[in-house]
Amino acid sequence: MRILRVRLQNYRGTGDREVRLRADGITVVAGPNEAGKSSLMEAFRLALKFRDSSKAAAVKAVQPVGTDLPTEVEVEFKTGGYHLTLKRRWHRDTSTQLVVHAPAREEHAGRLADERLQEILDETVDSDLMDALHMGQDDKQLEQATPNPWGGALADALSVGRDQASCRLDTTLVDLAADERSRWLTPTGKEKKELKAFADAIRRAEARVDELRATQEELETCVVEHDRVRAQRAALLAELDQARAELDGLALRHSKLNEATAVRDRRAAEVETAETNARAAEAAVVTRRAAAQRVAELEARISAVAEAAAGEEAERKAAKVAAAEARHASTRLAERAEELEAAATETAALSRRAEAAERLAIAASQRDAEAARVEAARSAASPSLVVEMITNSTVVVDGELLELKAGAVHRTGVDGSSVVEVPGVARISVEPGAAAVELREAAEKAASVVLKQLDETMARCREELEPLGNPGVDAAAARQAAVDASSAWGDARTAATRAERAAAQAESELRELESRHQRVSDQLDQARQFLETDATDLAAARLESADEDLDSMVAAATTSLGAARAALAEADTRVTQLATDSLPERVAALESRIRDLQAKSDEARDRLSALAERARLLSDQGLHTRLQDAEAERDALLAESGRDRRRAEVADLLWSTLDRHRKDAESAYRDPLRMRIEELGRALLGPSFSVEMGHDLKVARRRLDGHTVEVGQLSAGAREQLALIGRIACASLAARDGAGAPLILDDTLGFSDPERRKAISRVLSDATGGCQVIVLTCDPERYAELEDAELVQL
Amino acid sequence: MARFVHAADLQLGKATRFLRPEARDRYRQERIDAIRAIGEVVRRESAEFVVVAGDVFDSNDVDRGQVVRRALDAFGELSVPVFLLPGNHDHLGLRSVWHSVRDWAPSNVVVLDDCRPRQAAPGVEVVGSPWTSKRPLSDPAADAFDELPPTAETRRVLVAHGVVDAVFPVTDRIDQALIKLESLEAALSDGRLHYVALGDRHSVTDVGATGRVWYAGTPEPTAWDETSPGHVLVVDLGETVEVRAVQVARWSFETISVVLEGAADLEGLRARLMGGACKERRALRILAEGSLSVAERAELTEIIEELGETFGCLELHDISGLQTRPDHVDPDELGLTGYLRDAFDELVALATSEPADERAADALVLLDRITRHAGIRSAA
Repeated sequence: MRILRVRLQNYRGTGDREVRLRADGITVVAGPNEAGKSSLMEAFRLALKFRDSSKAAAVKAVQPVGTDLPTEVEVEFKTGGYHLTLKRRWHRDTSTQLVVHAPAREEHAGRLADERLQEILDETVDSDLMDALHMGQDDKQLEQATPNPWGGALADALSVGRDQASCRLDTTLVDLAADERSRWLTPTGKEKKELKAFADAIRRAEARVDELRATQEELETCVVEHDRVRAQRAALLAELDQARAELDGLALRHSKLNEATAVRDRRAAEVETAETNARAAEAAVVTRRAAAQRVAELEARISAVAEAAAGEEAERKAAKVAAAEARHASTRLAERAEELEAAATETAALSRRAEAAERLAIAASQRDAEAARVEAARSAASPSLVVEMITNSTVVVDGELLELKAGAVHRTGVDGSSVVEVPGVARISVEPGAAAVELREAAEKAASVVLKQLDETMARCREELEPLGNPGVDAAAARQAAVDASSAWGDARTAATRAERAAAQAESELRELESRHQRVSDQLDQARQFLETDATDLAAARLESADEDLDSMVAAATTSLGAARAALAEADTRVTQLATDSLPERVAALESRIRDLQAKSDEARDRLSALAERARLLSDQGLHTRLQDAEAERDALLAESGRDRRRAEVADLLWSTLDRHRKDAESAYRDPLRMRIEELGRALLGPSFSVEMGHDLKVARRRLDGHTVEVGQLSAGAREQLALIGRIACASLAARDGAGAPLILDDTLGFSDPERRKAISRVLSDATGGCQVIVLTCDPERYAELEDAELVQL
Repeated sequence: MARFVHAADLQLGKATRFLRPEARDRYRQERIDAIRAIGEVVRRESAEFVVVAGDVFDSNDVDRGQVVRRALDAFGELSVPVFLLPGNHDHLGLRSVWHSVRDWAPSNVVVLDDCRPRQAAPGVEVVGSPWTSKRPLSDPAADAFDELPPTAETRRVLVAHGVVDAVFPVTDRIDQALIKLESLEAALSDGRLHYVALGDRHSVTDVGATGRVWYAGTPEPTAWDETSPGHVLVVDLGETVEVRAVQVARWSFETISVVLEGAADLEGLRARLMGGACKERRALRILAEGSLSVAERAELTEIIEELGETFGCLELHDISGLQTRPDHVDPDELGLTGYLRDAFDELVALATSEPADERAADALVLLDRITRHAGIRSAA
């Protein structure tokens, strides 16, 4: 775009003014402050933007104060291939006239003029650039507030609009989108308080819901658990009842067992009794039989003994006779023996006297013998008479009567003569022979000594015989008689002894017999006594119970024993049956189970009360309502927040889409812009100059002489330079592109020193070939160095 | 012949979440007012007694004052005996609401908290099968009548609560035992029972073929998926049984389907929503299909937001069949050029892609709005 002419009438303080500008090159519009330099450019923008009917404040503001005059602006400019003149009249008699001079002539008025104008502008004008290249006094304000006026200006051109007169649709849209977005989100996309407040409120509401629901769930759990435990406890109690019933059953069974055991014990006792009874019955039978047998035996024995006793009685009687006889014989023989003894004694005494006599005689005989020897010599052959008894008989020998027994021998020496007479039978005489004299002499000679001795002996014998005198019997005979008597006595004695013995024996035998008899008799008596007793007893017993009764008793006892045993067996079976499955263990097990069940049931009861207590604590009677309300509140918040969040998302989507596309558009500027800025800057500041562009198309950092400085750290003058260089770069770039826009410098370079201004002026002169540069200044000296500049003095 | 009212599932204290706070409070109160509506039926029909077959209260945790006492007051206003059965919502388990009721119940209120038959009217006895716990393990009705002797003179009404196997062979409440229709019908045929008043199902339902087993449904609807809720049953019980459903509900839960193909349809919808009586007791869900421009789509939202206040509940339930057309936004009309045009094209692509990014459509609506706003400024 090239602004060729601006004519103002009744514009602010200006009555009527027309300024022509160079289409290419620099026009310096100089005038004192308030001379209306800025108004020229403002009027140009207003004319393009606002219709004649506009009531916009910006339009109203330009009407001269205190007047009712119409404000008129006429602008002539070129854009794209068009050459236009636009004439606006605002406030009164409003009108719009558009004349298109080229490429083809057109004239439009009113609405049509507006529409055509808009078409052409839309088609040809880079309004961003236009705004960017206007470095105005208001920009100066910005410059002081903003570290990088130029960069800021460019960025503003892309993003600021509403507060500026130049309100471009696109920037407005991005801004509105950003505004919409900024209702919810911070520039960095974080949620703002409102959404956060929602989030917080939702969190609180959810926490509330969660809390209530947790309470409700716990309560539900309590209720369900309570139901479960209640059912469990009921089951436990039922089980307990059953177990107790079972235990009762077992107890009953136990008592039955005890009963059965007692019955069995009784049955056992009964069996014992029956056994005793049976044994007794059997014993009674045996006893009875034995008694009967004994009676029979006794009877038999008695009769045998009696029979024997009868025999023995005869024997005894015979023995008695024999004994008496023997005694008699013995007595007789004893008497005889006594007689014989007396005889023998007498004979013996006689004999002894005879002996003495004999010894006297012997002595005498010896003397005689001596004398006899003489005599023997004389009667050497003196014979001996020997009487030998053939039978018992009395013999008289030499006048001596002898009773000799058969076999007895009676000797007698025959000294002279001897006569033996057997009375009534014979007499025998014996006579001695002649030789005996010689012998006697010899004997008398020997006998003389002996005779003396013998005489002495004879004296003694005589002395002995003296008292009695000489018996007068021959000693031998006496002796013989004594012997005989003795022998007879002996015999008699022997006989007596024998008889005695026989008698004693007979008596003994008799006694024996009698004793035996007595014994037998005693025995018999005893037996009879026994028999009598036994028989009496037996009879009594039989009277009491007949033998048949005893047998039937035995049978009955056996039967009842059998029955008792059967009953015992039955009782045993019953006990066994009852005691089969270890009753006590089962009872113990059951009791343990009952304890266990009881404990469990108690536990369940405690659990129930605990649950009820817990539920009581939890149960808030408004819980249901409060939960419903809390959920509804949360849902409402969620819905509302969802709507807002959705709005935020939508706004963010719109803004970010717009912003991204804008940034893409920006980046098309960035590199050419940087290169151009560096080119211009090097001409001004030397070859070491370079810049880094910010994401927002602002110069972010300047590098000079090896030092990199943030734009914000630069001096105001340096920032102004950078801002100007930036605009020049922009303008020249735009001009190079053909579209272009006028570079408008409204009272700039106030911060630059004269040297720097000169340098800038050179750069302007060099760099803006092909550009339209409009310098508005109250101090034309600042731009004295500009070459080929046209000065318009207001 | 005896006449009585069979109601169920009053669910007092219930308030659905989707209602606004103000509507929730009204809704809660109006559930209690349903008791008075039942009372009106009792008067009109000269019923001799009322049975409520379970879920009288929505929960054992309902507010004792605002719900329980108010409800008991309302029951007390009825001039006939009222037999209330504990159901699964208000079972007799721990912290049961019925413990409070026992203390406060007016004289005409009988809580069927055990299976004893109770004289309800001359020649009529009521036997309840209450829920004693939250999760009964066996048929929740059978206990009440299994052991009962048949009656010749007395008519017997079983009041039970739960899912009947014939209605829902497979219940989604897997922990819930089913009521066996077969045993109910056996008891009906051998004279142990003469009518079975059921609760749990919110829709009026004649169960089986006897005509003697009924779900009364809820007297005030609670959700959109209920079939003919809002009734109580008037039962004439004699040698035969006659059952009539009487409407008592004041609230309605409706789902409407609309086809929206442009501004005219939107206006039609608006008119439809603005018309009709008692909107404050209507919970309306809209199933929308068709296609709207982004601006029209925005307008639809505005209509719902604007008129939502007048309804108990008004919501766009399912708009998956509703397309948003970006064509209404004309970039040339809006003067979008350059990168703005690029951005616009990108949003259109997003909004019309498959699947469509609804935010992009909304972003286009926003762009349209701010562009017009800027345009107005610009024009100004």
